Amino acid sequence: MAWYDTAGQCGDVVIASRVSLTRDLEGYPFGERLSGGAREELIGRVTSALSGAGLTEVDLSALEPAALKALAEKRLIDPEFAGMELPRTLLLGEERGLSVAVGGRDHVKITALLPGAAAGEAWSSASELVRLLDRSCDFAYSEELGYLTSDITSLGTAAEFSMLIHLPASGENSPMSGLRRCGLEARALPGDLWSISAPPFPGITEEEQSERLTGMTGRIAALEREARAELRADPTRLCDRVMRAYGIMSGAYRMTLGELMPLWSSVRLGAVIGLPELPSPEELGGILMSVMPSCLPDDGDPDVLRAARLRAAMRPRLKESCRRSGIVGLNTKED
Amino acid sequence: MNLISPIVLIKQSGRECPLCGSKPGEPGCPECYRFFADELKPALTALYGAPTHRGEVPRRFDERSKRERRIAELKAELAAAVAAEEFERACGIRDSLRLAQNETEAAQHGLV
Repeated sequence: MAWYDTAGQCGDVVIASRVSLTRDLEGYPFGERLSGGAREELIGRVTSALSGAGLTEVDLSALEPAALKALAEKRLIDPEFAGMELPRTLLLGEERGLSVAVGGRDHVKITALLPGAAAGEAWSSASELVRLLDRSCDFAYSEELGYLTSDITSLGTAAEFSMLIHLPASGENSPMSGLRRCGLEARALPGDLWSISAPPFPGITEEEQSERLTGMTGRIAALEREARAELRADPTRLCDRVMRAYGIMSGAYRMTLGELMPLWSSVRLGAVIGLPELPSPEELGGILMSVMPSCLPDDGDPDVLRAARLRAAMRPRLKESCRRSGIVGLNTKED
Repeated sequence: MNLISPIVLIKQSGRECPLCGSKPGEPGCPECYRFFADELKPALTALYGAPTHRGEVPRRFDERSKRERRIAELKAELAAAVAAEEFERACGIRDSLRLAQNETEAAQHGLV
């Protein structure tokens, strides 16, 4: 089960929920100031404390750059952590959506990433690991400021709650500008995707962060569904948008990621509103991840390779769709 | 929208953190937050006002908080018993209070 190819609650709008808990240990410097024997000691302590958690230790020094990039593209680690050269370690419970980055900018970053609207479950999952770690490690903490981390602007709970949502219909009309007043932040991403987050702050609890995020995302999702219903009032225009995008995705011989994202967004819109013969939203998530830069072979033009992979993934459905519609088949050697 | 990063409000001094050797600025270790409390105050106030953490608490602080609350409750009970001239009950509470205070002191010295 990966967040990008698995159906979750409110999966028509909310693709994934992520909770990251940052914890630093007393007595050790942050980030690259932690080196040599102290770094080894810290990594050893954390790894040992979490040895009963059913996680797999990944030897990052043995991974190719592409594999590290893949972990970052799957949001299991930060790109900064992937690019570090100092010894560090990653503990993975990929089937549970869990990852623990040890020895990054902060000593420990525990991330739970689940499909759909699942902020509460992700928080519960991540905090279980924190409790395990708390048994044998002294967290850096202040009763006024909360958990002390390397980032002076991220104290308090040191917990970041976020959701990845898809807004192909309401997009620019969503109330994103008002989120800051609710203590939330919104970041636009390609493909009509938005990341909505509830950052940490001394004075609010983790439950309040989760509720703010879930509540506001729920309202945004409701607006998106209304906007989608309005689109359905003009079915020809809607089908043209979706199937035009589907046709290009299935037929192009060259595709940059920048070109792909709006097409993918339109096809996903079609899939969630139930247009026939399209890949499911979960399949589309898997297809997108399979054509990210880290997943493409090294040899060859990545844009050409991406397009080939998309054709292979999308064409069987297109062929089936044509067959059912009585359209004469496509005459290429790939058929 | 913040036009000025609160980081620029960190006061400069010639001091160095005894743990990591950092000067006042972006904290180089958890001890920096305590050692440079004065230097960091303007930036932290700009960011958070007068903060009081209300979220999850680490296990060692949670136990300390429970002990402190217990001591505060016993002191209140003792005062009430004395005021009501229930001296026998007050003696029992006094003994419980001494026990709780001894436990707290032992915990602070790492003996519990």
